[in-house]
Amino acid sequence: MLGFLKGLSVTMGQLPKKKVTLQYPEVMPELPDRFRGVHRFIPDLCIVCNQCARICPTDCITLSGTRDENRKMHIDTFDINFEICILCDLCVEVCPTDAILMSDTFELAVESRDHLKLDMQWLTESEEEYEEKYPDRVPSLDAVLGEDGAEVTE
Amino acid sequence: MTEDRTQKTESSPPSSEAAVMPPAAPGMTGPPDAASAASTAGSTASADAAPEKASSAKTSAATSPSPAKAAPPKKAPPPPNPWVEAAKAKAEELAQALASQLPNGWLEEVGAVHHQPMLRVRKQHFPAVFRAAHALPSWELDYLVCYTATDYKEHLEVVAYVESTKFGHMVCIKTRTEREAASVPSIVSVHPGANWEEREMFDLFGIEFTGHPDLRRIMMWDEYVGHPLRKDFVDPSLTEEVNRDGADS
Amino acid sequence: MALIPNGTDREPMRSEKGSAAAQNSAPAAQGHAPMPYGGPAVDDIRMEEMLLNVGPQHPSTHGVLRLLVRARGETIVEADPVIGYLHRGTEKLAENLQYTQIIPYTDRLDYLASMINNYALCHTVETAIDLEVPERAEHLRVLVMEMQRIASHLLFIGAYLLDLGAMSPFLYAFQERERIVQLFNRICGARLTYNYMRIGGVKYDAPEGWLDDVRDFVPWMKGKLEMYDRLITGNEIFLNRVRGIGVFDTKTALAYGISGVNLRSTGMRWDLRRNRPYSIYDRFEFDIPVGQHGDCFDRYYLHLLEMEQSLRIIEQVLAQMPDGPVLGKVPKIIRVPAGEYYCGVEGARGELGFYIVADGKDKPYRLKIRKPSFVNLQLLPELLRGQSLSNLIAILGAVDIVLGEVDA
Repeated sequence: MLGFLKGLSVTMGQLPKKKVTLQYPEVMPELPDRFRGVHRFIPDLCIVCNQCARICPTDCITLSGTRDENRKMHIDTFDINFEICILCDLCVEVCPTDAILMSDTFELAVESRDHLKLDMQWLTESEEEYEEKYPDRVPSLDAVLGEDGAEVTE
Repeated sequence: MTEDRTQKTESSPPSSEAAVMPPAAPGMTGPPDAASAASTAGSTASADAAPEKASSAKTSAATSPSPAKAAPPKKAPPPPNPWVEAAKAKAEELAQALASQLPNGWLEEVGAVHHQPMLRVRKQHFPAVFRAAHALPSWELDYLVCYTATDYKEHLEVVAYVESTKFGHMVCIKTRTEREAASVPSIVSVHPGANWEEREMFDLFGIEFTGHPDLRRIMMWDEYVGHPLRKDFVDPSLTEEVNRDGADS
Repeated sequence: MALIPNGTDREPMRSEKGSAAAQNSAPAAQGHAPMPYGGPAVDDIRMEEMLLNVGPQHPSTHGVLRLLVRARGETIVEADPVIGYLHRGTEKLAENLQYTQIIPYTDRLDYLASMINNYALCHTVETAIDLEVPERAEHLRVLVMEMQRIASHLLFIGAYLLDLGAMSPFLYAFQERERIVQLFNRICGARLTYNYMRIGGVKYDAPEGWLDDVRDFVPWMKGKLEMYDRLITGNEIFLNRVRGIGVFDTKTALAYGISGVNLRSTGMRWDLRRNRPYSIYDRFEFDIPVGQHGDCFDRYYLHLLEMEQSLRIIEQVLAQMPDGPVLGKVPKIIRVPAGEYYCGVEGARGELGFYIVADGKDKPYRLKIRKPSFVNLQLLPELLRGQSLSNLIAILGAVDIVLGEVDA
């Protein structure tokens, strides 16, 4: 009986304590900058090296690009199939120009499977939203690109 | 946590633990059993490595004179790896100890798998080898660590790592079977824990374990046809016309 | 839980015509004559074995485990676990993946201890290619692995008590676990599928202030462990529920290949961190608590004691944490020399091992995962035989399985 009462005292001790739960979705959780949510994409930085598509364990990235008159590659299409993406972050890790990154969007429920085909436009909008939300986390484009648009090599 | 608990904990720092414990099993990076390595292989290199046991296993592996670290001059044949040599010597030792209890022709190969002693035996004697090794004094391989199969295209190989919880030996015992109508005698009578692993191999490799008490599929459903872990297995969903953009994924 | 009378073909989810339980139960059903008309004598009361289907969708089966239980009255005659509902063929998938690409898949095996799964794979590959891991990376790995062990054990205690009908420990356990998960979220950006380790080190160094937060976490967690002890360990209802049930001895455990807490609860001092030292565990002082009776209570209490030891290790890691790089010199494409490699580590549930057959390419020729839950679950039919039905959940819960790992 004693042990039972001892346990009950622990439970009673919890009563005056502050709540630890969060009133989601009214209150959104604070997510760290490393958080791996849905991708975001910066087309200007992409050099169409295809490394992200190759490292992807589930082959969910497809992309295509063309060469312009300056012999520079430009991205045309960039699609992520979110039906099979496992948010492993390997594509972000291999990207040499940080053109593909992760956002803090974790709400992945959609009404139709079609909405899980994320194209370049969606991903770019995701980037814009992220920049708006966390202006301090995003380096300005000028810092990444040189003044004449050439890449700054560190 | 105090009070009258039924558990007992024994505080022992790592250094004294090493003396109390049976010799640490030679894990993949761990040094070979110092005594046997020094006596059987006569390898001064691994004897040198043994005192470093107190430090990190990984560090001692790195500092041991393995050929990769020693960077031998190119084109010269690499010097024999002391770890492998010690494992081979240990395998020989076990083979000799077992020979008296097993009929002729039981052994097919003695060698080493990475840094572990390895015996490849004829499949008819597969359970007998485990039984003998279990009962063998000063070996007592009583703990089945890992039990699996591999499809080598020409044959199937069944691999078992058995360990002695008393002496710390870890030995790899293998056998081979043909791919068509593959069958291997079951070792469930010696190691009951092999039961599900054998069912899994039956399911995924199509190896018939004769003498198994309850051989049926475990991962796939009973009506399933094919053995997915075989190398020639083709996923039916990839050959049939499946709408990749649709419901299937 | 669905009750299914004997002799019916309508078994949900899966046809089990070949199963031992179904075959054995059929003659029993036919053997009984219809009840004699007019008041049966006591001996003539119709006694019939009943086939009880537990799961696969039941909260106390911790996932999608299905148990076919043959019961005579209240007593279990035979229990047959049916697994495979979560089989994804990880071993087959891995044959077509580069070694780095397999790491996210290991997250999904034992999803309550992803860090340890990550480590087991990386450790095996590192052993195979003889790669040296930087000191700081190794320390960070041990740190997160021990935190993971605490998180996993917490969830065990919470879920086990929930199985037995106690609601509040579950909520407390999640509160504590949340703090660890948040720390993991900050270091690797995920709350469950961490994908944190890489072959040759870890992906990220600890962010600013993270180590200090872990330092604050340790004493806090120690207080919480004392709270659990007060809350649960002495509770008479709990003790009567778990003492002396699900008992097995060391000999049985070794024969069945049982590892982890289940083995240690029988009194065997067997922990791979000591018995097959890997990583830098030989530099730390910690005890290996063992049980005496091998019953469900011992298994519960060992989880509590092991968390205490994990906290000790974390304290020592934090004190020794060196500076330096967190990723070693790793070739761009990792090719493992031809051969066979097996490495086992002490996972949260027992010996987690990876067996790799390599052929010199960047992908494994064959990858076998030695899954502790899978091996430990084999003992369940033995433990349940002859027990009362009401003990089923108590025994199953204490074996501590994760179906993501059992089915792989």
